[in-house]
Amino acid sequence: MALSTEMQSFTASDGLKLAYAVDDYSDPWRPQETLILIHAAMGSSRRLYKWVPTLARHFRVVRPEMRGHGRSEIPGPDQLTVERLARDVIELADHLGVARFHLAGSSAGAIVSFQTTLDFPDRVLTLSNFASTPGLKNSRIDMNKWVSHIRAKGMRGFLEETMEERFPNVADKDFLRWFIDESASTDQDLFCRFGPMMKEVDQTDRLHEIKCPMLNVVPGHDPLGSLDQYEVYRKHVPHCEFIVYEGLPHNITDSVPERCAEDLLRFLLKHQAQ
Amino acid sequence: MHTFKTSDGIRIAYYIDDFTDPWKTAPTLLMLHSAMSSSRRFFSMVPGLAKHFRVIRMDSRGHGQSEIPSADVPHNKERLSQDVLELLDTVGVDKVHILGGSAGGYTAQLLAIANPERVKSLVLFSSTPGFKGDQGKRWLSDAARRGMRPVFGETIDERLPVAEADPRLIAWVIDEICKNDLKFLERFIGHWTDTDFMDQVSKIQCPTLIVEPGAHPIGTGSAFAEMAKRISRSERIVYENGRHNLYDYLPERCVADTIAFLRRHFPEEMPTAA
Repeated sequence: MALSTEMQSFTASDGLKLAYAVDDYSDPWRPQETLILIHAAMGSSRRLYKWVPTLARHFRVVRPEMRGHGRSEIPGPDQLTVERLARDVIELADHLGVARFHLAGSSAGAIVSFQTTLDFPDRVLTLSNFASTPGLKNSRIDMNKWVSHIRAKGMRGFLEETMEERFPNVADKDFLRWFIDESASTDQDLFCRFGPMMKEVDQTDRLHEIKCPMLNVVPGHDPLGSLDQYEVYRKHVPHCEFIVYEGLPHNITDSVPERCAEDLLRFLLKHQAQ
Repeated sequence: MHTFKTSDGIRIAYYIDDFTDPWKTAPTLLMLHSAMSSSRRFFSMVPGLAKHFRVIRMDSRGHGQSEIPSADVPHNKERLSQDVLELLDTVGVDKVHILGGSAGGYTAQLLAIANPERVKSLVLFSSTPGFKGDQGKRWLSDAARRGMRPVFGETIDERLPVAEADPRLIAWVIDEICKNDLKFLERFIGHWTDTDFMDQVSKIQCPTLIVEPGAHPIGTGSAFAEMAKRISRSERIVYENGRHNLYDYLPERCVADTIAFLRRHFPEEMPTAA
């Protein structure tokens, strides 16, 4: 019976039904501030459950499920671009009646958060990126290899055979099994479109447009992207706060979720609108 | 929110909050609020507790979102205990930790006495064995004459330290109190003002945490030490100069003391450090 938050949904402007979760334990007598928190590729709102209690005592925490992921509907051939994913974030905020919000994302979810901030700068109070580069174009991920691996072995087989690079230093077998179960529920064809789409994204040239407070939390030892690739944020967004989790591989948002949540909370409280 | 119908036909509302690891079976903690309150009033304690427990909060009959029984439905302390047992059956839990505030703690103690096989531990905030005496009777007759808001507004310093607490919290608590149905409270509080079961608490065998508000604003102050002496596995903590509604204004301290107590007595359920 774990993971108790009831899912809600709304319909995006192109007709797709999108799911989201809301948790709020903030003081009802204070002005409410909203944090939208976006999961990684092959993920869902569920993968961020451990962040919620820390953050939702202070903010209304909204966890959307990206189109094609979790309990959101799978987009058609013309319904999957990074701009469309960004528009979904704004349409969810509109649906909730939220003019301006804090935005945070993990990995591909951070690429979407970043795109949202570029396209709708007036809506985003602060931007926090976890384990993300500005697009995957320059990453070491060989997406063609991933896709053929997935086509040959299925999502589960692919995940089982690549767990070592995701969690080389996580010993909890039950956690690893849960991670595989959750990620393997992602639609295979959807991922084989989503991954290559993200692999074409390169937002580097637009980094300088970010004017809102920005937090970057990056893994210090990532076989999927060198520290240089993460450091472009520091170079092009001089006002950003940059934190390196030394020695950790890519999936920091799953392997040290409470540390991520605490760093995010500290950053958000520093930049609270009220 | 969830609901169930009791065996005497009353609709009871309850809430489940759970951010524990989904691959584990988390222990259940049941929270029972005081008179004139509701599950909502526990909001600030929930995230801290729901990292470790599947937290269930019940709106006591006549309170919050639960139905107000009509005047011909028999009301007594046995019925209030029965509501809790029927909730546990509804959610399929054999044995729970119970955290009770004031009157919620009266029912928790009576369950530990009469149904020890269902209660693992008690955490009691400002809760002695019943509320016998004139104080509650005075509130009720005063409120019937002048309305709830002036009576509970004028005496709010018994519940919250007016000089220290956030005035917005104080206003919110008064608003929450005044949402209650006075006719039902006359039955509910009235019944407890005729009840004293100090002579039975020695039957409580489970670990019991007694948190005593040091200012003793409501009820009989000496009763805390007396019950601590009679309950063999009890621990007593006094919050210096504390007012009656400890968990409304000191939620973090209440959570920390609850977790430390339960970790000491149930290390197998809470293996990780806080």
